[in-house]
Amino acid sequence: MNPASAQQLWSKLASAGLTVGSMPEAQEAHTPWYVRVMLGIAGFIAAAFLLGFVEFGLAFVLESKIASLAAGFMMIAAAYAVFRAAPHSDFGSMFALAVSFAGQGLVAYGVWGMLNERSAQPWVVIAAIEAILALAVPNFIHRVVSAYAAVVALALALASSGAEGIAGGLAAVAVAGLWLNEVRFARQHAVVTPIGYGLTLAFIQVEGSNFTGHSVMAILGSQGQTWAKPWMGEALVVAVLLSAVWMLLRRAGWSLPESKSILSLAVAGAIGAASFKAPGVAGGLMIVLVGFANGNRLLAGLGIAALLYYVSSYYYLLDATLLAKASVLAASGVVLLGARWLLLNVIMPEKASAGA
Amino acid sequence: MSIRNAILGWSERGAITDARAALDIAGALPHAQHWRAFLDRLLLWSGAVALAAAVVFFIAHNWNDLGKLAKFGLVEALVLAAALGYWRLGPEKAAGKASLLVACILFGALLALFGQTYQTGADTWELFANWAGLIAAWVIIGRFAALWILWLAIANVAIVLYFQVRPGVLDIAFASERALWTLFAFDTAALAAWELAARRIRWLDERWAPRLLAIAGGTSITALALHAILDWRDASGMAFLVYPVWLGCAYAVYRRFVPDLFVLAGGCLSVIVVATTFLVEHLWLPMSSLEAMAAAFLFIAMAVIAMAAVCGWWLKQVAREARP
Repeated sequence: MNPASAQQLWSKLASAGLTVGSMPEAQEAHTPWYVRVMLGIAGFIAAAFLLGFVEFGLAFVLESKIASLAAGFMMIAAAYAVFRAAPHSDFGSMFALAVSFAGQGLVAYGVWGMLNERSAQPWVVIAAIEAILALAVPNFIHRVVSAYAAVVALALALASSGAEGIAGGLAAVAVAGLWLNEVRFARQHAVVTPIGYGLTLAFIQVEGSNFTGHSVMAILGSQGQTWAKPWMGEALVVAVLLSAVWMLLRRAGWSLPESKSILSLAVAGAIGAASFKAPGVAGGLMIVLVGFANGNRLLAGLGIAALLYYVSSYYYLLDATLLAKASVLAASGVVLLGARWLLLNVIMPEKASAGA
Repeated sequence: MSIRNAILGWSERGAITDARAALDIAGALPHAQHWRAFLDRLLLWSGAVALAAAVVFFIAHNWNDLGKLAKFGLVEALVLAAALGYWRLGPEKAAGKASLLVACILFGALLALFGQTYQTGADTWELFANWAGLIAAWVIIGRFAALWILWLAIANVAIVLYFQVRPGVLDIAFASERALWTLFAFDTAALAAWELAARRIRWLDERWAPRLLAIAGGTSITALALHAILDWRDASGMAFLVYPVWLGCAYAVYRRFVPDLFVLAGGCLSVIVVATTFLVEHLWLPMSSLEAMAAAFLFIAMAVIAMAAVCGWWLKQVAREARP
């Protein structure tokens, strides 16, 4: 948006009595998401070489878990100081990003070595450290990566405790809770938005990991008993989808006794039910709906990409035959097209929605 | 910066009393009509893709309890129904376009069923090549960007599979390089044609499609450049000539004629990856002592940071210029 458009928008909001004082001066230009992705990937490449430097040049650091932890935390602290001291320096931010990523690698290595790696302990500690970094380090890319790492570590902690089935459900609660209340946290926009993207990416990843057909616990070598079944997590995701739809209906002024509200919830429930056989459908749909409701095209696009990813991964799910999967997809297709007919003819007929 | 980000940015600085009301008044939040149009498209496309995928999964299962005539009858009836759906609904309606997309996907399932039933002995690449060839007429009359991308994806798969089974008489080692050159030439030609056609044809003027083609072509030429650096004794070396030309053309086109920061950012990432690989090959791999290796790693890390910082700075400048 150019300065003239910004001024025009400000005047419009001012005339509606929604502004305080004069229009704030323009801050640093908004960086498009793909530029951030490019910088994030470069940060990881640089961090890998920094870790290589530590391995070959400072081998004593890796020989001691405590030295790894100390060096890692010092690198993270140094990166934090650079982010604080020079927030607008491109070189400083890139340098700090790479140093912090490498530092986090060393910290994870130290934590992993000091605690029982077959238990949930190292994952809980790593999740806590990443959560603190997501909140504290003042850099968009860093917050996204730390929030993502925190959720993935927490999912692995749950897997080590025999509860991998509910990781996706808990992540769905966090994703929906944050994005649906985004405006309430508007004063913390710079903190909340990147954390929201990190949570969303991790949620897509955790929901997608159900497709591997291998228990994460088995990969980790955990001896614990699985007590939380995958259907529990999916039930939680479907409940979150229904809650999100209910909240959006209320936001639109639709109350529960109205038949169109009940029908909308029934349609969302019917589509979400496919998740019990094809994990990811309810989660992907929830991201798309919340993204569109917030006017956030990037988030809605992420949801659509997640749905396409889930459908293509579904082919490789080992728990069911292709015939069973074909039946689930055919039933889902019929429900989706039936839902469209209901939407266009019963829930939101053209005249009614034009007048709304 | 979008209206949404501007309002949330002002809210963060305490200049807006009610962020939701401000977003609503500014038109950044959807109203009933927007919701209706959006859900209409979402349910239509997801329903169509689910039904088409169901048929593909069903054919892949190769269910013996159903006779071959019944299977052919089922798939042919569905192809016919989808094609009739397109004819009835027309090319302008989204439902018509969805019907044509489903018909094109089901046509592939029909060809797969034919190969599965009669064991024709044809290679897999021929299935995809025939599929692309036989639906070409539908793709042309469809006037619909997503259908063209589906067609290009099928053609890409056919190229990859062709070089897997026909590496050439003498050069099995060069098969992957030849496949990458063919993919690069095909996707870059498609990208150039798309950009030129989009100037005249409105329905082609959607940025996501040429961006996908740019990613496909860019990935191929970047992989070829990496191959030329890491395996320079066996590689043809053509990439050393073509890669800079491709970069120069991408810069000229997407900086001057069709400004697109997405492609420029992709080009920057490609340069960083290629330059880093060059440094690894010539600085790190020849080192024999641990100290020299450590120094090489540190130098490469700093070089990556510097390159990324310069690219980030430049891309932000370009973004600023784009919104005067």
